[in-house]
Amino acid sequence: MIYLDNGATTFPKPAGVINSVGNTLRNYGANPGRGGHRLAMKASELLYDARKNVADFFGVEDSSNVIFTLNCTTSLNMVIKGILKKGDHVIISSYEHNAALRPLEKLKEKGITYSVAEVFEKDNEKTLASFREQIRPNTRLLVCTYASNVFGIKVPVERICALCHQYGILTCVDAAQAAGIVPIDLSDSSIDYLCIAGHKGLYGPMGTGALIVNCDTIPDTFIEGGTGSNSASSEQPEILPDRFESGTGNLSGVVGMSNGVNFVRSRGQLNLYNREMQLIQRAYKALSKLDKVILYTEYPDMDYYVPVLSFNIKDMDSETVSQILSSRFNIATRAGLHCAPLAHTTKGTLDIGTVRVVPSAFTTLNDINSLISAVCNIK
Amino acid sequence: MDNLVQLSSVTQAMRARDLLKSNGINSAVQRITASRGQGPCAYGLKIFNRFDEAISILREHNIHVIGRARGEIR
Repeated sequence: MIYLDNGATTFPKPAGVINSVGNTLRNYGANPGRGGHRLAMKASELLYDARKNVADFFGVEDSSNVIFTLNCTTSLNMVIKGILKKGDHVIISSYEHNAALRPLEKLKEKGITYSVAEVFEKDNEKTLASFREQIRPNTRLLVCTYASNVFGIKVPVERICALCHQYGILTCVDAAQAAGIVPIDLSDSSIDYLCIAGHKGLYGPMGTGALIVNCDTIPDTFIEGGTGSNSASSEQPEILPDRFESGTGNLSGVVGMSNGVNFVRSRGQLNLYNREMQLIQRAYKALSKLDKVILYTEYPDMDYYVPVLSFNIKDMDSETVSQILSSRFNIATRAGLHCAPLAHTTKGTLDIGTVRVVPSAFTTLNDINSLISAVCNIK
Repeated sequence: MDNLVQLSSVTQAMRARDLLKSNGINSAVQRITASRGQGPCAYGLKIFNRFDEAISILREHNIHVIGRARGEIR
């Protein structure tokens, strides 16, 4: 099979990730941060090492600010529901995923409003102006994707976050499609809350993610419960990461995610990014020559895009095209709306969706050539 | 008396250990009996040398030392 659905989750996983998950389950299967026996302490060390590794990867000095979560969606919900109060206003981009949109829609019931700032492809000045226009006296939070999970368009989040800070607005970035692909350094950043998925560009197992807190404003708790610390108190601990990590976590998954980070480091993050962009550019160039193919972005370069490409075949439903690619050519792509109706509304594809192609470190030029050949042959 | 202090969590205890190590001070994380009135379930740090300096370093780096631990669990 040629797997080009890496935007949903990367596959295959690196051997180091698989081995580390197995090794943890086999040899270190105690509950970290609970008991004091040798195996529990070893498990705690593994969790701590993973936390330090992820912190270091994103330029975070204090690893306590790395909170392990189930996925990027959970991280976004923790910020959105932990920060906002009645009367607050939020700005989002026109490419947000349902992970941001749905929690905000839910919070309308509590008197919280949001508005959408348009993103202008390859025009950061216009995009910045668009976000500036949406700022209101009661704007409390920016929630913005680093890059569209459908069209690969990068949003100039650092500049937008810096703008928001001028107005005292907190900033939350959804880096699901960027973490592990685009270098992100929080040591010199206006991003207050970085939400990441472990199972995409970081090559970890599914069911892993993190919220990285990069400011002094700590969200209210999302859930409360046992943390293994300060247990005599009925109140949730204030200290990070315990405040947000109630209940037994996914130790083997987190260790796998940390080994995924090591994999990205070993390959060179910029090398991976560059290589995957070349694959997407190859697909773009070839598909753009086919009259029957519709593409939705300008030519994707590293300044403005991450390696994500959406297309359609004229007069064909995206699901049908993806199904043919799977059944006839054994090529895995993702069709439909990619949980991002706002992005599809922006591009006018809400009714038909698109076929999405996302390579990974394991995708070859032959894979992309096979995709191009398959699309040529679809009638 | 043991040079054993209570930290707020196992993560903080490990952070403290690493910080002290980078300053040439040896310590070890262990499960402890918590400071008076705080019941069981706590992690602490046994500091092997330069105890007073170690406490100052931890405070400088905003690592909250809850107090001397009541006793080591052996």
